[in-house]
Amino acid sequence: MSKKTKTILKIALFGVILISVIAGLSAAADPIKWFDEGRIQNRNARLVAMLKEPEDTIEVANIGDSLSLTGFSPMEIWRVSGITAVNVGADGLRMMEAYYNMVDTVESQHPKVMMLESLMLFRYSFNNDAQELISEPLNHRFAFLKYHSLWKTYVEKLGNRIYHKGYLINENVAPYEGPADYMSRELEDGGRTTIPEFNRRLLEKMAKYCRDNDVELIIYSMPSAKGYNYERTNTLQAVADEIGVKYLDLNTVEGLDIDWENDTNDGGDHINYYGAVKTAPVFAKYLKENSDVTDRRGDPAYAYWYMELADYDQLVIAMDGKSFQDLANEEKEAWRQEMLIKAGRKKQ
Amino acid sequence: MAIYTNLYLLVFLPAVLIIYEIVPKRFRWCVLLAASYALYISFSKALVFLLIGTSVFTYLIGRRMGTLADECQAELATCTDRKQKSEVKKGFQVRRRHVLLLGVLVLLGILFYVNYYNFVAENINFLLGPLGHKLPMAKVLFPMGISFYTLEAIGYMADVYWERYPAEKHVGKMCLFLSFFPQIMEGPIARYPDTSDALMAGEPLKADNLSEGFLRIIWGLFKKMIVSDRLSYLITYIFGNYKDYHGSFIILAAVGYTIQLYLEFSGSIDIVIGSGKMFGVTIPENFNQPFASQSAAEFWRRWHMSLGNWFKNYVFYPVTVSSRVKNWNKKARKKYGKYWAMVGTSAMSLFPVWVATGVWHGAGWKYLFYGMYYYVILLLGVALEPLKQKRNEYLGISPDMWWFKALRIFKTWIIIFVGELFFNAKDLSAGFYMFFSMFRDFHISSLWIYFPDAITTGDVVAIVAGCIVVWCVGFAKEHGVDVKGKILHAATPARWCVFYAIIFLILIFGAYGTGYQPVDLIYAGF
Repeated sequence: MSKKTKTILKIALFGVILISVIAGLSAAADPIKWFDEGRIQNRNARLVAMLKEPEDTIEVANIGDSLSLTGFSPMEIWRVSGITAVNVGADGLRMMEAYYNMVDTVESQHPKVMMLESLMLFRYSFNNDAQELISEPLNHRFAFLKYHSLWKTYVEKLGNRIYHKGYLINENVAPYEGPADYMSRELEDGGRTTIPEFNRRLLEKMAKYCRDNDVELIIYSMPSAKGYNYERTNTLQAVADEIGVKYLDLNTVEGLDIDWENDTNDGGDHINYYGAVKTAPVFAKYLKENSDVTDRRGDPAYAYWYMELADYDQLVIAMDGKSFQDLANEEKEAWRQEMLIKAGRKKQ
Repeated sequence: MAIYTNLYLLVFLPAVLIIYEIVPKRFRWCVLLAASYALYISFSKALVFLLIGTSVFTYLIGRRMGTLADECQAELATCTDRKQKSEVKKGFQVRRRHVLLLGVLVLLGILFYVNYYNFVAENINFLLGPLGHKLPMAKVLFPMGISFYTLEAIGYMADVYWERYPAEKHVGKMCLFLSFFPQIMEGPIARYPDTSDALMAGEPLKADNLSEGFLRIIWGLFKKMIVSDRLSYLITYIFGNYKDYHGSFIILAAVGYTIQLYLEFSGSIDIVIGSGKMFGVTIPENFNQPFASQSAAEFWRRWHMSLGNWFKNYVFYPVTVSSRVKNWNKKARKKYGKYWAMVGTSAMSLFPVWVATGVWHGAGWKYLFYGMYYYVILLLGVALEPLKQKRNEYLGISPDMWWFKALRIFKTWIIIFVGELFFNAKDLSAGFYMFFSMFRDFHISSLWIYFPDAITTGDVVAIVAGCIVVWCVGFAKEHGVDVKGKILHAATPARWCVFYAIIFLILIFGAYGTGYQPVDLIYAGF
């Protein structure tokens, strides 16, 4: 055997051992157990919550970045329509991660409808997206890599977030102060109004994947006084028409009256809990008219949804106009005051 | 495509290695050149033409100086008397100097325009604003690595001028030397003979080189991903909200930033050197346990060594041996004595070095201050040396005493931390604000009571553990233990165990993956 062949074989063996160990550790990983223990509080939490749902019980999956997560409350949609939905997006979601979240959801739940919030279609940078082109398939394949930061939860306090089908209640109010007709203005910082080729191709790939799996893909734009204007929504309508999928723009849809004084938690970028209550009937109506979803209210197999709704309603009252972040901040501030007293820097 | 990304490490570098090995030996340099430009385009797009232009221009300047040297030799051969020879030599020397001057001025001109024009224009406008004069601000795109490859190009020109080596006759070799892909982002700043021949040699890949390069790369990733990138969130937060913090937090910020910068910069240099090693190219070292330094002068001999060497070779020495400084020294010796002549000469020679070092790091008063800070400290070191010697003699202190060494190292750390505080501050006034904040409302307990949420307890654990590992390796190296050699010469199973251990530590404790914002290389911005 030549020296060169020997070297190649050695490198191959090294790689095989490495991948085998990673695969073995990944197979042993149990994200659902970690989720139940409250260890998964990060961006994977919604995806794991979806995996935890009984198989084939979810009819609508909602994927997108923070806009989709704050404005789409599955419990509110259940309340008004009996449609079973989940959020499986993540903050700052990019297309590659969205694609694999979609794959995980379809494999686990076989939903009838996949709702795709559109803002991430305008988000692109070569360096970040090229990175995800490599890392996301690896994360999808190897749970060991996807949940690699979990060790931190064994050395620090667990978070306080309570998800309801991937929705986090946020009752914070921070009014929008810009022009009322925000759809006619230009985007701040010259935001992109065309869809980069990379995202466009991934969107086509998503559409094909959904078609192949008998899932209806619907692109939609959540109300956002900072994220959208007519240029963007016109682009989205054109792309949806070209690809052959439906498009719903909640910024201009009739019957949705977002009060930008009260229904946003950050000055018009994201809508809050009060906004999500308003979008729920709009989503429900659109889904009923445009897809084959079922009203599961009254079905004993879905009784646990009512139990979760009751928990959700209790929490809505308990949150008292706050977000989970506010609650965490308050707790930390109380701890600080206690520590200052202990350190003798403050009188009791 | 930064060198620490998975795109570089899992796709780009392996692909280049495979293609390099497949193609015939005489074309391998073309593979490296194409890969270098491809990587450059991924960052700076059309500005690759500036890099190509700089390379060709450097080559032409070198060639012109080489031709003039040949012409000079030919003409000297025809000269009969010594006086004539001397005049011919002098004439050609002047012409060569003009060519060198042209080369240096053009390259520095580009560097000035890209890096400093707006800063200078802003200050001129501030001064002359009331008189109604206003220089326009330029919209300049930053060509990646310009500060590094410009110094390499100038170094090459100067060396050819001083006839340290002949001018390069292969333009491709020059292009590859200035653009070699691992080095282009953060250096190290190589001298032409350091890497050019190895780059062109097209030697086949060797198992030993691959193994050594691989170890170096994963060690670099360990430093960057486990410690530096985690620290980055905290440091960015404190420096970004510096008015909210004082006392112990500012000290923490200064120390933390120094650790972050060192582990990030030296970590990425490990990746650079490791990548080069895989192709059989030995890239010069840039760090040598800088925190074991017992003085600021020693620190700069161990920290960013390639930059320090460049300024030593191309600024400090030429200034020191210039006729003006020599003459001054001579006169000063007679007039003020040996000591003051030595201090004066040091002051004159060190001044341009430290102005240049400060300014090289960027356009801003804080960088100039950073340079002047070290200038004053180093000059004080020179001036106080006799006094220190007398003190040691009087107190019976030997420089080898462990406690004295430790004290000197600690003193050097303080100098470094304060320097880096100004270096990373938003601007000079923020630097002073932070500096004086250190002495305000100092409570150790603030460190845990007001610790920002930018990083968590888990991050702190990873940072501390990572620092301990890095310190242990550095300590062993400083005491003559060849850690790298021991690993590489171990039996395959043992060697692989170390490789796997480092890889799994990175995979588990590294800051990477979705949700983590990749931290850009600090020195890639200079």
